[in-house]
Amino acid sequence: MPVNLLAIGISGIDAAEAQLAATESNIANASNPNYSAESVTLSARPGYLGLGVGVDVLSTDRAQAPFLTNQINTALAGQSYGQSFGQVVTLAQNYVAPSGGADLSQSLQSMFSAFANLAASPNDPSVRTAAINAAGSFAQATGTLSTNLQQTANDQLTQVGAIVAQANNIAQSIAGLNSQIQGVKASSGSAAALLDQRDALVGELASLTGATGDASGNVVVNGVPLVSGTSALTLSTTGSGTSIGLQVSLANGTLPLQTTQVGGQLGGIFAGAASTLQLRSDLNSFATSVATSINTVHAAGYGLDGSTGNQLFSIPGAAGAPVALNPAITIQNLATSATAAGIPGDGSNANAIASLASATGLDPSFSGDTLGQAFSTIAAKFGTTVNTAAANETESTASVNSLDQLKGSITGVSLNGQLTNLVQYQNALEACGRAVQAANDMTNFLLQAITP
Amino acid sequence: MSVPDITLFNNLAFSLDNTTGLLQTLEQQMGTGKRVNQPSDDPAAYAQSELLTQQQAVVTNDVSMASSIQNRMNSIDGALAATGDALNTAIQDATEGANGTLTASQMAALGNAVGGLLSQVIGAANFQYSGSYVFGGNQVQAPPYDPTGNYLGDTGTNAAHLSDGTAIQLTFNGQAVFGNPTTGVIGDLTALQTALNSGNQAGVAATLNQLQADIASIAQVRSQVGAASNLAAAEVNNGNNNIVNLTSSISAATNLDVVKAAAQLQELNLQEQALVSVGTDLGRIPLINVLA
Repeated sequence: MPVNLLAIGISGIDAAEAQLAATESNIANASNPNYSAESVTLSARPGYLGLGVGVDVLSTDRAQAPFLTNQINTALAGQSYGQSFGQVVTLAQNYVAPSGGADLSQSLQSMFSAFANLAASPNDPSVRTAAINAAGSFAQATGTLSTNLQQTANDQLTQVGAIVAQANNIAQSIAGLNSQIQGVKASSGSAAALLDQRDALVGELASLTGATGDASGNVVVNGVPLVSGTSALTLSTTGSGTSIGLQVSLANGTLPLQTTQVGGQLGGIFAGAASTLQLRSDLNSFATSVATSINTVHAAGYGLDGSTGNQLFSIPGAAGAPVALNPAITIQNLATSATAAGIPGDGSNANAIASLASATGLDPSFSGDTLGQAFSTIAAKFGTTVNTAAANETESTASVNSLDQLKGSITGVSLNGQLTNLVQYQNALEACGRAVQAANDMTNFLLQAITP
Repeated sequence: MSVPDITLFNNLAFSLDNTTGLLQTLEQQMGTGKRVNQPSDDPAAYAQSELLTQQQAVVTNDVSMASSIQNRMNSIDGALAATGDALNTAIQDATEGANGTLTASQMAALGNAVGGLLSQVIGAANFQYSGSYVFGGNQVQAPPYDPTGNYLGDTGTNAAHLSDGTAIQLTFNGQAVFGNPTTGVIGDLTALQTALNSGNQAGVAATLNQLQADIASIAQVRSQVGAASNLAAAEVNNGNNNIVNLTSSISAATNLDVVKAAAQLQELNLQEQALVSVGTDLGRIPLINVLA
């Protein structure tokens, strides 16, 4: 039975060297978050009569946790969504309820107080001027708030183009890696490092857009493909300003991608801008309700000049647009008196306007609230949105951390474990070396024995 | 379960981030003394404090108005008191003129004096507060009486309305208070003056009862004004108490519990120190030392 002892030993040395190489690579990448621990798969060479004749290195493989990787990508998308959404709505909240500053309810209250004072001194020019100024301040505050919220949404949406460009670059890199991985696999080489790179890029794309990938490297956003095999499709923007949208260019046209279908940073920006614009619309509607209620009462009253039917506020035709003080209002036609005969000392119409502060049911959407309560409800509701966004971001971050731990327990590098392996493989290498030496000694002995 | 080294460091960083974030929030709250600075800090508490703040602004304005009304009523009372004094003097003059001991010229002199009292009363009826006439009804921009005592105002009145529903009358129908050349205070003084000037002792005597009734009538108006002044004073007091209570309620809803926060701060500082200590130990991998 011929047995090649030398070849057996050398195969062991090859195996130990491959294992040492994998171990050294693992140690070198111990702090690389995108690295998956590698291991060498060995196979015993079949011999005769059950006697092994050495070992073969079959492949170098990376540890994998595909389910957890997808879960982490989903959590990363949620985290990015929460962060960008939170940033937008926090900026918006700073305008609605400036920390330590005056909010809209204070200008509303000041206006009603000014009309209460006017009711007591309806003919006093300074009090009349103060009431007009207070109404103007309220209108100006609503206009400024509306402009700031619009600007906040616009500013955030201007980031979309850059994020889309970044996503396209990543998609192209993934497509390129898919091509390389296919080539390496075709030549039976190890694609472990390339797969790690691809996983990392899919994770980045998930953070940006909420994309998900599969084992073949295909990437989709809510069913719309971004990477298909070795081809990357192009994501692009449509429209501009607050009307900006998304589409994916396909070979035979374009496929619209609803902004509500996008996740990650991009989705957070779209959702945050939408929430901000909704808040703006709610506040403009609130201001319109205030202005309409006051206009109705004001128009029924009489100014010092005997005029009646005047509107205190100009209400724009477009729904959701801010109100303004009627520029035609003067201290003469400001309607403080309820009757023409009551001019100038009757302040009951001014009192009727002041009484709107405590009136309920002025707008069906306020469901029995006073105007002040309605504003508080809008502000608190938005506060809940901001609060929930922060909680969601914290929760997503904790999820990412927890899932990373789980994945790390499968794919990560434990230095203690690798150092143990290092000792083991060094010993194996040394032992195989001694086996080769023993085979060599035997050969020499036999050669000397048969040499005449 | 294998625990990769990078996981250990990531966990440490995550925990330190959380602790530092909590510390930052707590330090911000301690810096402002407020737990609720924005709606997202505690939406329910924010909504509550918003309503309380709005209520406080309303009450503050009420206090300011009530205080002004109190001053106004005190001034009006001064004008009415002067009218009462004039009527008392007129009664003395009427009593003197009616006792039959005066000559016609002496009575005429008294008539002149009563004419002065009449001017004084008309002046009181034309009393202004902050540039507005008080006794002209709604006609507050022009004197409600001409020099002969004709009423030029109307019967309207204006009132201040406070947020609790209290209404306090600010202007008066002057004719109901002072009358005109034929009725009321002015009418009776005019009649007295005429009787004195014409030496009509019976006519003079006839005004005495009317003048007494006028004094009672003015006293009644003064009591109304006094009640309004007292009401305004009560509104000022109640309002100030309410402001204190509302301030306290706003504080309770939004302010930081400093003692609790201080304990929390200490706990977080300890936690941060412990984490840093863990980080120091993480840097030492035992097996490397053994192999070395």
